[in-house]
Amino acid sequence: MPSDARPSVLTRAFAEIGLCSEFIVTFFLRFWRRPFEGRELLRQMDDVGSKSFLLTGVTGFAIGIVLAMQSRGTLMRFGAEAVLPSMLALSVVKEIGPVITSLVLAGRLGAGMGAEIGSMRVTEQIEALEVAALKPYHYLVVTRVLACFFMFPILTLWTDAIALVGGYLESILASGMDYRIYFSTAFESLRFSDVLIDTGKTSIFGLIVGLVSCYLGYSVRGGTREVGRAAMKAVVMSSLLILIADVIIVRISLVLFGSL
Amino acid sequence: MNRYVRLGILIVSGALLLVLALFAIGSRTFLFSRVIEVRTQFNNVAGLQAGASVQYQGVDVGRVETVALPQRPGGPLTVTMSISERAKSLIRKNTQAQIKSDGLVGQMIIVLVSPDVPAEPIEDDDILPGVDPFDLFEITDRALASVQGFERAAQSFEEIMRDVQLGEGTLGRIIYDSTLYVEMVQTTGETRRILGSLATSAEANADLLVDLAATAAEGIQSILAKADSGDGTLALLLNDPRIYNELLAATDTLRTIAGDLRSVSSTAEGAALWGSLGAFRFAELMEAAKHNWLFKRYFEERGSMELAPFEMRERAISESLEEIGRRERELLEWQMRLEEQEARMNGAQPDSSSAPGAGGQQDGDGQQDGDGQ
Repeated sequence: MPSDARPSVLTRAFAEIGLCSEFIVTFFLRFWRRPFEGRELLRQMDDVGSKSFLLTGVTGFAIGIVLAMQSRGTLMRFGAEAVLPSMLALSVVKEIGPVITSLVLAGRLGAGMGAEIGSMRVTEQIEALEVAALKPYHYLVVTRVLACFFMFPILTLWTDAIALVGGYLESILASGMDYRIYFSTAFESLRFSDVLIDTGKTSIFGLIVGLVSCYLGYSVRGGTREVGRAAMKAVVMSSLLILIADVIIVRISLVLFGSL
Repeated sequence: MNRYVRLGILIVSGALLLVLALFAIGSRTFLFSRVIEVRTQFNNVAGLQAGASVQYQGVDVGRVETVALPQRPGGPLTVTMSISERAKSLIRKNTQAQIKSDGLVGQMIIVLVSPDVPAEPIEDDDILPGVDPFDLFEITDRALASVQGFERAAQSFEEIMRDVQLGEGTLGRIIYDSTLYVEMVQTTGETRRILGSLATSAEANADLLVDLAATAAEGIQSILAKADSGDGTLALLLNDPRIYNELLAATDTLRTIAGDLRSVSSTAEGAALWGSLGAFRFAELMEAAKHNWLFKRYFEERGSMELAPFEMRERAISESLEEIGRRERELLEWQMRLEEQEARMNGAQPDSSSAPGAGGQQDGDGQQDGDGQ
């Protein structure tokens, strides 16, 4: 095969998977080693968490209200309006809250991380950091990925809480349900594993978003056009991998903890 | 706001949310309260799962921890429950554990039911008596069988009512046939008449009846005296149970025979009735045939043109009436002659008419009465 021949799509796909795997393994080999870059980690956590709070909060509130409004009519047909808080809590805590929060954050953070790191790559700022004896991987990648890992569950908890409040507001307006009955019924159907596992899985979604976005930005070659494509690919790949990972995690949790 | 402060608030509030949620869930599952473990056994748990609620008088007092399979085929399933310490004093060793559905479409839960006579409070690892849940399929089968039976009964009733409306069968005839009513009215009238005559007869013969009763009482007293002494057939009849038993058996046999005879006689009575009716109709037909121009000559040749029974009766009655009329006329002639003779004798002997005339008139009247009779 001549050396200047363009590789096939399959070859490029396998090469991409290989490079991504190397990037991920490098992260797990380096994130617990010095330098820890604590200040940069806190700055990234603030960017991921505090600055995304409004977006996820509004999303959660909308989810709670819409889900309550949509479900009420169906439940009323069967005379099961009283189970609305239970249904809302289970839906939000187990599935809708974690997945929607992660997808929203993937859209916001994936594009930002991919574009920021990609711009630094094409403007040779990463090479400059290496020349300055700073470890750009620790400074740029590890801090962002860990920030996503820590902040996704916290934002998800807030999204769940705000969604339940939104559902409660809808219940007040629609049926005047007492808050004690609402929250008592809502928590009646939940288990520890529902909160811990289904909220904890968003840490894995955070890892996916951080690693995929940082890899795509870190591996940009060329000009600003590639930076834009990397940002777009970061959002698409992160969202897709979140959904695939969700299926796998739910399946594993059902095997380990049952369906009750 | 400083970014670190902002981040700190977010992280702490998130942690608080998590803790609150865990406590809210834990308080409902009695995770953070003191509990005791008790067990119960069922032949069928109807889908009861670990984590299901345990209720006492409608209040959650615990959770189902495990549902263990039996040790041997067909053995009971063991359900382990954690019961809150607060409810320990309420739940006794003979409290029944029943599996029920939480609402119409809810999951299965355990309901603890207080006994009428409560025993001691439960302790850790006690075993409560379990009551198996209703088997919905069994109830459905029973209901289906009941519905089928009811349907059959309704069909039978419909057939009976149809027969009744058509006037068939005993009930139909009772309702729609007026013969029974007429016969009942006649029977009532007959009964009233018989009772009236009995009363009249009893009044007339009261003295005689009293004498007869006194005589009968004396006779009975004599019989009883003999029976008491143990002599004679009656004493044996009274004192020997074998005779009683044999008499009882004989009475049963006689009753059966009498029933059979009654049945036979009623059948024969019916047959005789039908036979006489048939014979009457046949006689009517033959009588009609005798007067028919086609068969008349045949009967004349055979010498069978005798009168019908009712014609013979009519003829005999008319002959009797004629004879009675003739006799009556003769008696009237005799009476007229006697009166003439009497008038003639009174005219010839006017002085001696008082005593002998009265006697002669008495004789004459006596003769007249005797002739009249």
